Amino acid sequence: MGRIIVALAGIGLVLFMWNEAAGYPPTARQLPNLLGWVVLILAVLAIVQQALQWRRASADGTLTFDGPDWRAIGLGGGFLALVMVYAWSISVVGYLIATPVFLAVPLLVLRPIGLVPAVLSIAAVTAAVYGVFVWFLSLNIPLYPAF
Amino acid sequence: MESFFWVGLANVVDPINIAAIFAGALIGMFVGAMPGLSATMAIALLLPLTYSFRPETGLAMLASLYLAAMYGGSIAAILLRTPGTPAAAATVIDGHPMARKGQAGKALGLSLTASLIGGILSSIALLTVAPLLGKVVLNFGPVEIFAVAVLGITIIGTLSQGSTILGLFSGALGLLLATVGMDPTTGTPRFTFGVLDLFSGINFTVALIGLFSIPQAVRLIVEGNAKGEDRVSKIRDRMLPTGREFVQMLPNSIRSGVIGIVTGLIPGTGGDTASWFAYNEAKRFAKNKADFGTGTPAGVVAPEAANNAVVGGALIPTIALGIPGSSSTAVLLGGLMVHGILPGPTLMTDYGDVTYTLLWAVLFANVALFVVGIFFTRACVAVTKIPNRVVGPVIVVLSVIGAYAINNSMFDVGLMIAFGVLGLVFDTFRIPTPPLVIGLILGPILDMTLQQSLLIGKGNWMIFIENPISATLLAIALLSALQATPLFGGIGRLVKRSIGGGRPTTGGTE
Repeated sequence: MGRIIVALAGIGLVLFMWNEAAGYPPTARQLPNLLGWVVLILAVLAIVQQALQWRRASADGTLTFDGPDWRAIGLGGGFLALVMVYAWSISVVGYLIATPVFLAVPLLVLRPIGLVPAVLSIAAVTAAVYGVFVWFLSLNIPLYPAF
Repeated sequence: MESFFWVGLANVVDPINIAAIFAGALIGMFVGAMPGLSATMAIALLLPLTYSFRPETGLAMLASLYLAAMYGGSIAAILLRTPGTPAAAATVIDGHPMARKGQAGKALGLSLTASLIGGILSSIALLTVAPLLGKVVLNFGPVEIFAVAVLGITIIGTLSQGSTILGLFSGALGLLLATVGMDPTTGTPRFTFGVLDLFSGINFTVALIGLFSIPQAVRLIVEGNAKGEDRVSKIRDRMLPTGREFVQMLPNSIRSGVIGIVTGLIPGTGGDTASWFAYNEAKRFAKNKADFGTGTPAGVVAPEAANNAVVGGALIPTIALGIPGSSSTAVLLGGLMVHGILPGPTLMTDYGDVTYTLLWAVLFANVALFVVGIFFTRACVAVTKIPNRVVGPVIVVLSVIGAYAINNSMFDVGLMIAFGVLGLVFDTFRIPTPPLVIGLILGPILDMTLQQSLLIGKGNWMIFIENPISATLLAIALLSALQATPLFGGIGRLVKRSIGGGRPTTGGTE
């Protein structure tokens, strides 16, 4: 089912890009239009292929749909949300606060290592990334809170 | 070109570049030793580090890191029975049983020596074949380069693991996303929605950091470490093979090295394909086939020589044609692009000094890896003990800071996460990601050469058919795409039926 959703999203993207490209000069819209057709055809073929696989499996009596793994979805989704919050928080509270907090959350929640190794790991990673990117490469990243 | 050959050698022996090669080997070996971290991800994460270096220094470091990550993968494979990289999967079969027998050092030493032999063979092939191919490609105009790009993406799409249709879909989607940004001919901003950061297109480096790092970080968090891991925690025996052992392993290493080079040359295949192929060939040539799987040295030597030889082989089309054959070489090509060096025939001429430095760096990196491997393999054992759920968040920190470092832009960080989510979706539904990456690289080349070709042909698309080279390449591309359709399956069945006279075939595989 996931592949069908991706293929449908691809078709949606093509229709959106065609609509946007309609106002461009002919030379500028040439390649996006051409590639749009290729993506569209392949997306339809992917849907047909999946449907044929289901039909074959159904005829053999082997068609089964596994239920979603809610634990994995929750864990993965939660971590992705944390990543987004981390990226956003750097410009608000700065790297030196955002990074240790971000590293601490999964280590506290999932407990892959003990407290002392966790604190040491957080300090080592924050310092190493700071040393390489800020000190050595002179990266201009917000380090402290902006307020 | 010959002068560049020596300029490259002179560049690579510069102390800074030698130091970069050793640093790359050390970092690559440690990253590769962490289970689940691929060579591609290692290069993608380290790419931002090289921005401040001179192009030849940065590229020498990345090439060395790529090779070393291939060897690093075998450390986890041998000690943990978990391949550090997909290319080390075949090493598990005999490497881990050797470690269980108390021969972990010997297995790692054989792996290191085989990697050196395979790597040197492929470096020689790279230094000889790439310039020759480059000379041929210099005669190519936009029409031929357009056809090469179409062939490249089609082959990569069709040879990707899983469904061919999905491979091609992924590649086409990459090409479509690459049209975001200014049109090269009219200067019209396409699909930028007024966002200035998109005017120069989707930053390829940002996209690949997201595509390769975020899905891996999420997977490490979700899966954690398997309970009851069959781990060998110490290396007690001698690592380096004796003179006799070295002579014994030589034929197997050379054969597997050649397999690796040839496999690397084919776009869409990589270290994993080469190592399985070499393992099977080693078994076929062996006197005692039954020993395979029980911890025989030949079972370690073959995949390790092959997966390191792939590096040089895969770099041949990347350097000579500007068409990356795998996701790792695509990322290396990204390394060239961040230094303003565009892929294509000019790599061997306009940027010949940097390109030849890269070619020489691959050779020197093999020697550096051997030296670093002898001294630091035992230290890598500690790295294999780091829990996955500690590694995952660290990957994210490096990805976020690395993406920001490219243009000092938070927009790039957002774009990186968006591509990370896309990569995660593709991984979850087993849609191949490498064609998408290669589509993103080839998109601008395709765009530019299409418009130039149509200008030359005065708007006539027949120009691609009238040119014999382009017509041949496009015909091969069409055939490789069509072989994925039911039409070819039907023809194949008809041919089989006519040859076999309709006799029922016996089942089973070898």
